[in-house]
Amino acid sequence: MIDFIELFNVVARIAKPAHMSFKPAESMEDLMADLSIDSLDGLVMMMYLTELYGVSDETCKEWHPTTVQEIHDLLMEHKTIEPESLEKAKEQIK
Amino acid sequence: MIYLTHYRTASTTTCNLFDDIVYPQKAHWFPDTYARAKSGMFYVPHKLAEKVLDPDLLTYLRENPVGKTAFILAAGNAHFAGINQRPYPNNTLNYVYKFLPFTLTQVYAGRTAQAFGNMDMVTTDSSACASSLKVMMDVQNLINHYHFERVIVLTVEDGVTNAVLEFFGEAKAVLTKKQEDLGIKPSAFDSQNFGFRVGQGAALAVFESHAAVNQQQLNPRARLIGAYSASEASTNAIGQCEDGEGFIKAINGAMHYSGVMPDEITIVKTHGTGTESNNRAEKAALFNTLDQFVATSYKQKIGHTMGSSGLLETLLLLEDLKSGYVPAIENRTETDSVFLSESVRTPDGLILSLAAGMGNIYSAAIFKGL
Repeated sequence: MIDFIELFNVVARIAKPAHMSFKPAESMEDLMADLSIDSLDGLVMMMYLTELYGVSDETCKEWHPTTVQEIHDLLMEHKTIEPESLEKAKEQIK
Repeated sequence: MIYLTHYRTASTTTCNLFDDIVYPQKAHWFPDTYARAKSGMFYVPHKLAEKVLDPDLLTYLRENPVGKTAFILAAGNAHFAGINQRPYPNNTLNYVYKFLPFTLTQVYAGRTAQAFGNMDMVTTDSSACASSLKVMMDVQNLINHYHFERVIVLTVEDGVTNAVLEFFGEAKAVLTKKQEDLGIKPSAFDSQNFGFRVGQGAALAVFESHAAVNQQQLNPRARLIGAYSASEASTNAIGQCEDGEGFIKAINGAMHYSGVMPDEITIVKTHGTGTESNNRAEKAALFNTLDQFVATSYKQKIGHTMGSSGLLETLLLLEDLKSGYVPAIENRTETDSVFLSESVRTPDGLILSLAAGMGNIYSAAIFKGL
């Protein structure tokens, strides 16, 4: 079972431009805004995460998550697949 | 004074036949830029740009700010946002954009510019195939007249796409498989061979003021002496006046701005697409404006990299000049000491680079190799 915070941080690191500072999430309650994830980073992250969990664009178009927990809950509710491991997830989206 | 201080290029002589399109033809490309493009998560032009976004150079530029800095994305025909294109079969080059913001040219420019540090201006240019040479005029303006110390130019265009290959096929501008099967080879200013293949290409170039060069104690690669872009009285937005009017205005404009006399220019990097109209227009313009010169073209080696071609080919020429020669135009069938059929040793003198773009734009830039 993948630790979702770990996966979130991996995806955030890939989504953010490499040279830009990024504060890794430590808690499911962390707000995206407090982690230096701007609106464009958030869009990129959601694109990657919905691909990893097999959620259609149609399903996620109304999502407006603000915390790590909210992203997790939405993905769990609508997922059709799940990444096998952190390494495979990283490989898939990098 | 404006100096070219750093550059990176990406182009390929590797050529593949695309026969699953309406106008089967060969094109120069990097297949890896299409890896996973079909999922819509990776964008071909971005993958191409990554080939010149050297992390070490980016780090250097971030860590060595010099004052007012601009970033220009010369995006050529701006195919970044291929929204609502006509449908294509599910062939090799077919892909869709899943994520809109990153495919918008200026958004991509803004995101990419961040990698170079703080910017005082981020802008884009879509002057078709003249784009990357047209922005030399912008570089000149920003540094000479608006007190910018550094202007970073990234030029990239996704030329090897269904839309571009089909368009140029329809326009009878590219060499098709049918023509190549008859023995025609890409060349320019030749009576037998003609035309071009499309190619993928990208370039990154950093232009800096004299003060910025001194501050960093750099050894520049070249000096940008003057640049100018012009249009011509044409009624065809995808055609050229064969008397060379557009090229002539661009060349004269660049010479006038920089105070360069015709006999000072000895090396010409032509637009050199090898189409009948460009052959006539460019030849007429050069004989009208210059004295003694040798002319070359790079599109036969790397294909027509569209918006990237003007600057990318100039950078390739600088490399060749450093190696001591001006390369011949490939596949010439006649002996020619002007539009070179054989390579010649680098002559003394200035370099003139030319580019032309659909929509009646012509660009000229004069450089001095250092």
